[in-house]
Parts: sequence; C-alpha cells; structure tokens
Amino acid sequence: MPLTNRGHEILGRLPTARPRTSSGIGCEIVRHEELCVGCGTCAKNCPSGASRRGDTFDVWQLLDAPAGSRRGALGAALRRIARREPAGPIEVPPRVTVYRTIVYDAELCLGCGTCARNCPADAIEALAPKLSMTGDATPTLPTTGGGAATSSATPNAAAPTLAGAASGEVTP
Amino acid sequence: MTAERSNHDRTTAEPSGSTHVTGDRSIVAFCCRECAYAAADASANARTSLPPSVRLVLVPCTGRVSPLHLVTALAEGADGVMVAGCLLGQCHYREGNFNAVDRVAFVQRLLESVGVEPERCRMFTMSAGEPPKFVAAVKEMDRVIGALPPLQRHDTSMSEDAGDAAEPAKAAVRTRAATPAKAAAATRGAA
Repeated sequence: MPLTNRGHEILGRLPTARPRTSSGIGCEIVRHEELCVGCGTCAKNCPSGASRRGDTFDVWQLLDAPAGSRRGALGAALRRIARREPAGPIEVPPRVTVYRTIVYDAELCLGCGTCARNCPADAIEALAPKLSMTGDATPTLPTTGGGAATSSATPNAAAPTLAGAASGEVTP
Repeated sequence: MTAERSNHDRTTAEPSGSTHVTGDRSIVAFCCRECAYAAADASANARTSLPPSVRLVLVPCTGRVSPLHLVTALAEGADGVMVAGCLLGQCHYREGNFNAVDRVAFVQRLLESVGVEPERCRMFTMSAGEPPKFVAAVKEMDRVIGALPPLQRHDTSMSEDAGDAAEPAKAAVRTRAATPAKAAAATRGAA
C-alpha cells in the first residue's frame, strides 16, 4: 500500500527503517518454479495471501534441494534409497506444514513485490508496472486520481505512479 | 538407560514364526520418554526378550521426530523405522504424537513416491503400562521388515556427474532440469 505523507515523514526520520509492505503496487510478479525450493518465505511475507502453502508436495523439491539445508539433507537421504523417480506430487497430512509446494494465486496478488525482495533463492522477479509512454509523461499521485492519464495502456495501470519503486526500494 | 539397553542387547531369542536370520536387519525405534520408552524399560525389567534387530532411540516426545530423522535412519542403514509414542490424546506435551502421526504418514507417502515400501516406517501408540504392547509392536515390525526385500542404498555421491549410466539405479533419479535453471539464474543475475 502506498505510504501516507506522515508515513514518509516518519520513514525519513528513521534511515534504517523499511515499511512492512511495499510502497508500490502493480508490479508484474514472475515466478521461476524451477528455482523455487519451497521454503515458504514468500508465503510468510505475502500481505494478501496470494502466495501460500498448498495441499500437495512435489518430491522433486526435496531431491533437487541444495546441500547444506535441511531439505537438502532430507533429499540426499531420500536419493540414497530411491528406487524410481517420483511420479507426481503427493498429498500432505494437515499437521505437516513445512513440506508443501507454494501455490501462487494471481487473482489475489497485489503486485507489491514483497515476495521478490525476500526470496532467498531469487526465484521471484517483480517487473516494473508497464506505463503508457504515449500519454501524459508525468505520472500523478494516486491520491489525486492518477488513473486518467494512463487509462488506455495497461490493465494494472491503477497504481503506476511509483514505477521507480518497482524494484522494491522505498522512494519517499 | 544403560541397564535396559544391555538387557535388550543380550536377548538372542529368535522371534517365533520368523524364517530369517534376525541379525542381518536393523530397526530403529524412536521411543517417547513418557510412554514407549517406559514400556520398553518395564519389558526389560520383566526379562521379556525383544528381537535383536531393534535399536531404541530415546526422544522426549515423538513430536520431536522429524521426517529427516526417519529418512536418514533408512538411508544410513536401518531397514525399518518405527515411532512409538503415547496413546492419542494422552501426549505429555498435549499434541506431540498427533504431529508424529502426520509426519509418519508423510514419510510413508514420500517413500511410496520413490518406490520404497511404506511399511518400513510405522507409528505405534501405547501407554507406559503396556510393556506387552511394546514388545508386540516391535515383533510385528520385525516380522514385516523381515518379509520385505533388503533396502538397497546408492552411493552418497549422488551429484552432478549422473551422466554415467554404469549404475542404473543411480541414474534412475537424476536431477530435474538442473542446467537450464542454473543458466537462467546466471543470466538473471548478470542482468
């Protein structure tokens, strides 16, 4: 969510502070599933519940997990006794909370980019919101109804005014 | 802990009905301190013989046992793992054994997905006052594991050089799309 003026003022007084949620909305979230290790950091930090732990688990995430982690140790142990490749995802009992494949629901996603900032595997990218270059070149603040200038461009042009913040940095 | 361990190690009696030599397999039993280990203690004091294949591991609660423990035990030489905890609803820590039940079920599905018999990992529940139930559980586990074919283990170096097809079992599980993913990461990191 965009910070209020008072929020920016407070943030300016605290140089090391970071807002809990992003200052921009509308980034295009690109997930690289082949890099995801399923750690759940995105699910933990997602403000809208778009990234969350699902009901199934892909065993390949264990077998491909990097060494040095708990998943890597479990995957290496599983590899030693494996007789064949896992056919598909397995159901996870309700009390097993960690070993779940992350599901991503684009309908709920705000495009805040928090998941991309926190992802330890760099499996998520937050691309800048697409702005119309044909319309008014100077973006307006969202509080003044900024949708008018770029209404013809993109579907997620509702909050494109902090496009410089798309990489997740705070722009006061 | 040492007294009953030595008692169990002395037992050499063959479990009835078993046709295998019991010395060639090992079962790791994770025992809850409040219930199952107390039951094992009492059974040792009563001089009941356990199958010599079983190794007891004392845990404060079966909720401490994670899938990593179970699968690592199998990978490092155990032919079967059993988790012995309190009766459901009687956990000393309220719900540790419910966690253990689900984790054991998860490990069973995990084993099944890679082609290993899910019977190699089982959960038993008993109270501290039921040493015969513990002995019966261990004997049941020993009987089931003895009927299964031996668990083969691959080398520890299941690494990138999986290209040599000298060992088909090793090549059966190869890394999935390792190179494109890493290439993608490198290019995105450079950009």
